[in-house]
Amino acid sequence: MAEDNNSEANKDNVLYWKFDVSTFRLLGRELITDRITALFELVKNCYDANSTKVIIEFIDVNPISKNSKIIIWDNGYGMSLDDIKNKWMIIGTSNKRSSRISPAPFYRKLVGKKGVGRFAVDKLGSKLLLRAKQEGQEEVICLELNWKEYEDLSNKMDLNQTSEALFTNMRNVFWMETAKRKESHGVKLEVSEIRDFWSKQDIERSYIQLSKLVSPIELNIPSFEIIIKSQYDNFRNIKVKNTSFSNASEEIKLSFNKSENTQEVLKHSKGILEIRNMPLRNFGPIKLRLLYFDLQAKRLFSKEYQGTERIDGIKIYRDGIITTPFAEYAGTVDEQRDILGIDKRRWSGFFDKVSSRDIIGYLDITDFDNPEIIDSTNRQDFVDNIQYQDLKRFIVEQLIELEEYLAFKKKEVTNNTKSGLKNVKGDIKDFSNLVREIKKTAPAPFKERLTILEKTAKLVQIQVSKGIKAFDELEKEKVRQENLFMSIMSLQDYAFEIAHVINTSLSLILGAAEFIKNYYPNSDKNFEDQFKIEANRIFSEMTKLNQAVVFLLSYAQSNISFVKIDIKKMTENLFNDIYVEQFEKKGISTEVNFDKNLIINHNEQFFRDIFQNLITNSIKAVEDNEGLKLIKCSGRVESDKFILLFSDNGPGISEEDKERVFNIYFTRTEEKGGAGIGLYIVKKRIEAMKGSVQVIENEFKPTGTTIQLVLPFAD
Amino acid sequence: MNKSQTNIIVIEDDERFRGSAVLFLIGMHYETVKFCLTMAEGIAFLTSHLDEKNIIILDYQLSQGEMGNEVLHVIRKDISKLVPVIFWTANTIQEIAEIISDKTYAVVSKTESSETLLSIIKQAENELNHTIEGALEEWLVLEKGISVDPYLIKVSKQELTIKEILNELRLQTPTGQKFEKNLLMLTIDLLLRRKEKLND
Repeated sequence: MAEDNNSEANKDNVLYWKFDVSTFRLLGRELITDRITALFELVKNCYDANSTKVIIEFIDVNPISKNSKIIIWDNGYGMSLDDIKNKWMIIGTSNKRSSRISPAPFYRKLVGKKGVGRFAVDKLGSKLLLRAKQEGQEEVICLELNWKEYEDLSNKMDLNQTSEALFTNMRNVFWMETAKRKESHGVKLEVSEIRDFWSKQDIERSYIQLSKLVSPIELNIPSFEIIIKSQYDNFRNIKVKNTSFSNASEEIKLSFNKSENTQEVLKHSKGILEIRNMPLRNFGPIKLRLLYFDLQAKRLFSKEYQGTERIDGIKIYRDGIITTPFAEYAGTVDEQRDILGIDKRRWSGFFDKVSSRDIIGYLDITDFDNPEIIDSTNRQDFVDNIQYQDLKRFIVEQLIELEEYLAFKKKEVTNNTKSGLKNVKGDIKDFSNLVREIKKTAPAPFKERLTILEKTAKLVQIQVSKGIKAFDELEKEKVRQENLFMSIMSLQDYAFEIAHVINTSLSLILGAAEFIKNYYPNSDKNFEDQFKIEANRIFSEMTKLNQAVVFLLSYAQSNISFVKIDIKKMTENLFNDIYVEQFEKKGISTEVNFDKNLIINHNEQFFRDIFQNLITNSIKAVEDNEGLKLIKCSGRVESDKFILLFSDNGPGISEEDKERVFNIYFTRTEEKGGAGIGLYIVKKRIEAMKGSVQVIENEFKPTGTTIQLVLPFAD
Repeated sequence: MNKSQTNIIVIEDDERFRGSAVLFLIGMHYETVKFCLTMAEGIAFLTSHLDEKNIIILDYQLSQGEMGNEVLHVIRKDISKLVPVIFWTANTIQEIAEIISDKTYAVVSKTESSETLLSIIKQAENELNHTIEGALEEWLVLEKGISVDPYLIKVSKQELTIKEILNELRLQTPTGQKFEKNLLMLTIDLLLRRKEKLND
């Protein structure tokens, strides 16, 4: 073969590739997890090399034969022999580190950061013929690599386990060919000995993945064209396009103003989704294009794209190119569509929630403006720093505004339908009256017909009335179901917290038991003291576990149906009947003060839990008072909310504890059997009703605690 | 029993662990077991004891708004990339391991035995002693009688005191990394030219 002759003729024509086995495996096989990612990486390299066009040609890839090949050809600036020797051939170094921008004329921000793109070739096939040419050069540089040899070598080295063989030089043959045209430039990668066959579906997946490479928002970047050629219909010679979706039911664009340091954010206000300017966030300025698809839009979408495109959540693009977590090809879309955690939000607002299956989003960041949003090394996510967490929060905040807007619209539609139906009822009535009028003066033959008309109108009227009633019923049923779901969903939160609580108690008990088992008896005074402490600990932690179990059981048994609750009556009942004995025994004075009767349609157990917890807390707080022991509960109704104050004149809550008292297992009354579950339950239940709870300035002076609950009325 | 001088800093918002058996047992092996209820308290202690050896035991789920991950991030970013941090958690380990992004020594479940936690602390301490940072600190402790600050070392055209070098090492700055490399090269050079001998 020509190349062999050349290599024999000139010793320079052999390139040695220095590499170490573990690096080779790590980069080549572990970082590039699949072959579609491999293609993606190679195309990214082409982009970095200022190419305007890349052709990916699949030749005889199904079934695999000797002739199977994948050719990736670009018209970038190519490589010199020096580039190949010192950059391309040295594993683990990347020329992309020294300069972050591609040369003139495009000055592209480089995307192939990790310098692993070339190892992607290995994922496609074990043999590579690389041909590179720079503009103005007379010759094309050709280099042949055979991964299989490396693999054999590395396997051998593993067996020998010789430490000095960690690094080795691999021999690779290269030669020069005369170029046909001096002005041509680019790199051609010809991969053979293909590893796996490529089905039509594989090519299609590649197409979809590659189409997502470039953000449709960033229009000012120089053109970058990807062509796929293959043996399959529809993919014989096709230009990869990032589809511009036009049939979304809502489209939102958010941008920023750097000179004003502002970021556009969404704000829903009575049926209008406004865009407001807010101060820039710590992750830097971003652009966001959001497409929302309702049911009808989804139907249109699947009809138009026939399954080739998916509604698959929000993706992040850096400098116009997709970021690595979204670039990895995942077997199922679900795995990657929710990197930003949109679907992981728990139960709140369950019914109005927008999921990643309802939206397509393009979030554009730049290296310059958003340096702290960093792809993590495993390529599956971003580095979990404060800026990325805030970015995720930002996205969720926008979705919440969108959700509120959509919920408002939905309600508007419902109300319109309802009033429309009522109008129809009125219209039919008018119609019947008119018929009756005409009938009075109409000649006999018409009268008969008019009577039939009248009867029909009557029937229609009955049907419409039935329809209105059914509509009302349906609405009520929906509210009931939503409430039911809400309480079940909030159970997720409980389960998570309770598991933590039980584990904490268990760990303390296990620690104590282990300590006694291993060290008892011991005459050392320190040990003796610790034995007593641990025995007490086992007892008190067991008591807590018991309380947690009782709580869980009460939850399991509680009736989840919704009833009308008279808050005033219920409170009075608790204070004057149920707890009165305890109050009297402990010398506690109480005051219940409501300005109006307030009826709420909710779960009774929820409210009982709230009040009982507040009362027992207050009893614990005041029972050791030297003088007056006071507990007061007052409620007032304001225009759109109900405010309840719960006060006692106990020792009060210190400033630093004010935030923490609502945390699960936080307690300052441990010696009185406080488990720290009470106020947590209060908080969770109030939140489940979309209300809020906080410690405010105490009503009673000099010391005391006042807890304020606010419950908004439904619109 | 001779107790180790390495500080064990426990950052844990649950008061119940303060006098727990596991910490009592750690206290049998370590002179200082500092129990900190908040992130601020823990970071303040670490910052004021940087010239000593420290190991941090960090509760994953601190009070609201303060997750262990954040504490770890602050430590790694502003204080030290080297101090071993052991996550100690009542959540499932799987759940935590997926979230942590900064360097962590280990994740230990609170339901593990005290012996397990203790052995991981010892392992961390052992490794700590084999770092350049650890060796420098040990040297500083041994030389405490002598005034050490006048020792100036030139790295990257800057003159730094040993304490400043230590700080660069902890934050793994380019200067710190360069010093580390230079020191190793120098040591190897001196040993191989037989100008110095290692005295064991």
